[in-house]
Amino acid sequence: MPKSLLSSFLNGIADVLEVFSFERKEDAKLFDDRSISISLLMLAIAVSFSKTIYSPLILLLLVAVLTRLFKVNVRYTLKVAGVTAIFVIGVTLPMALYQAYLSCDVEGGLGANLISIVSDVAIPLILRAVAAATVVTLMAQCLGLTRLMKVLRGLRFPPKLLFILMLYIRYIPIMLRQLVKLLSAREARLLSKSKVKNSWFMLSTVTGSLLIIGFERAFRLQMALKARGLHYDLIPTYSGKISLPDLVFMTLMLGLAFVLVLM
Amino acid sequence: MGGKETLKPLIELKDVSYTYPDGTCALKRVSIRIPEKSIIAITGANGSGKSTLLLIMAGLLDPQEGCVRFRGIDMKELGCKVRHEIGIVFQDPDDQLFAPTVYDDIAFGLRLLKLSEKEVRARVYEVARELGIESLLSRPPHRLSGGEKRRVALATTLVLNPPVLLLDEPFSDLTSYAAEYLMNLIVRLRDFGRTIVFTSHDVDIVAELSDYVYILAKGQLVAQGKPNEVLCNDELLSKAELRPPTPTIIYRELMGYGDKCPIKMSELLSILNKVTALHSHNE
Ligand SMILES: Nc1ncnc2c1ncn2[C@@H]1O[C@H](COP(=O)(O)OP(=O)(O)OP(=O)(O)O)[C@@H](O)[C@H]1O
Ligand SMILES: [Mg+2]
Repeated sequence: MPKSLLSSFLNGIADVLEVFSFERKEDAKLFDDRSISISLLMLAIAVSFSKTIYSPLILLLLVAVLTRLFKVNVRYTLKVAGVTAIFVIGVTLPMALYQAYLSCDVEGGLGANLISIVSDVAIPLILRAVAAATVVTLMAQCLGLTRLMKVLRGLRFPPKLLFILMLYIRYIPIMLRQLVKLLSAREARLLSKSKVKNSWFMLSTVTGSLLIIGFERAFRLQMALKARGLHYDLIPTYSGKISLPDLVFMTLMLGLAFVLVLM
Repeated sequence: MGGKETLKPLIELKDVSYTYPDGTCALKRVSIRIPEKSIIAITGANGSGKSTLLLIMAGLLDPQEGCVRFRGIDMKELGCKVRHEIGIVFQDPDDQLFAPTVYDDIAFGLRLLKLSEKEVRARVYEVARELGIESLLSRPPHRLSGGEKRRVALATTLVLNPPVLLLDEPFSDLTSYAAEYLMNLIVRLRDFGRTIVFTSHDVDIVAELSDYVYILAKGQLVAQGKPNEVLCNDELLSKAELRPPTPTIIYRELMGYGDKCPIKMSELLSILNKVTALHSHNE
């Protein structure tokens, strides 16, 4: 069956989002779950507030080192980084163009303006987003969803909120795959060949069914999670001890986060 | 039921009615008792309410009327504690499977318990070997075939080893070889003290496997009893739009109508063997 561009695109996004519902298969860990998640979360927040392009670059370097250290799969991190980059570029580029156009007759030509806007605003923004996304991915891969939930529960996150979060993380990829299924069923019935123009038409025709099916699926997914013992009262709490190496790691990372914001 | 009436049932439904939010009345005043350590079949035509009944038994749907008791305690009072006691496999495996890989899906319930990854791994592999899905462990569940998905869905529940197993149409999509294997597995589980409730519209399988049968038609209970009492009763079966088991049909075709019909293939074969022995003796 030849796959349409749209279907592969949607499947790709589903794959990427699914990275966040991965589970870690080994017990072995370098540092305590709690110190890893707190440090990395802080780094992600810090880089979002940083001003120069150096902080995201440093962070990306750090992520590369930690990826080696924690022995997680680089492929998924790259996948997420790629999708984030495409997404942010898609949003910022038209904005940059528009800004350049607006300030065109004030000073310099359109091209010069565009270059300055891209280098001053767009590139730092893209780098920050990619860096933050890779840090979060690293954290998700390092711990796996269930362990992350346990840590957050240990940090007094409201269990109901966690349950909803877990539901969403699992639900979005399922939903996207459902969309692909609906699309291919329609493709098979209506049109022999899919072109980009047709894709948009079909996307508009499936929206209604997707909403209905989506609602039912969410309901059933919730039942499936419940049936296998996930109830918001039952999310276990993480109870590990923080040792000296954990403290050192955490201090280092938090210190770095501080520096990143100031830079 | 006689003797069974005095035994305390594990799960008890009393006058349970359920109407879906869109107004479809799926169950009307159904009462059911599930005794411990037995295999109970629920059969009936399409849309007769079998799946709904199982979801209610699992405590996943709340009936508008009537009550559901587990070990004598109201299901509502038990709340989420009952989750570790009752395992359910949905009719549609796509509803059941949600993790990125088969391994993660099977391990999901275990990880919520306080087990180390080593123990989780050991149990996942044990169940996978039992069900012959070891080679699928690293695959994404949404890319499996129908029968493979069904086995994985079964594994996700079996791995938690609950005392009660509710299986919704576990035999559909399976080849006859796989179905026979599953039947043996279910019998083994019963012999280990588990209680199994399954739904099926395949009367042959119900006849082979079950200790006790409930027949639903249009959301109402039309018959219940031992399979050899219920499944040769044409009047009851036609009410539920079911046909008798194949061995019964063959027996009647060959021997005319008797009051004691075989319902299992093995019973039919032993009768046929006796008859042929008699014939050859006479000659
Ligand atoms: N989510 C739902 N919303 C509304 N009506 C539903 C829903 N699920 C089932 N029904 C209806 O409730 C009735 C009983 O459905 P149920 O799925 O329990 O039947 P079943 O005996 O399991 O059928 P089958 O043998 O086809 O699996 C049917 O009429 C069905 O259309
Ligand atoms: Mg059903």
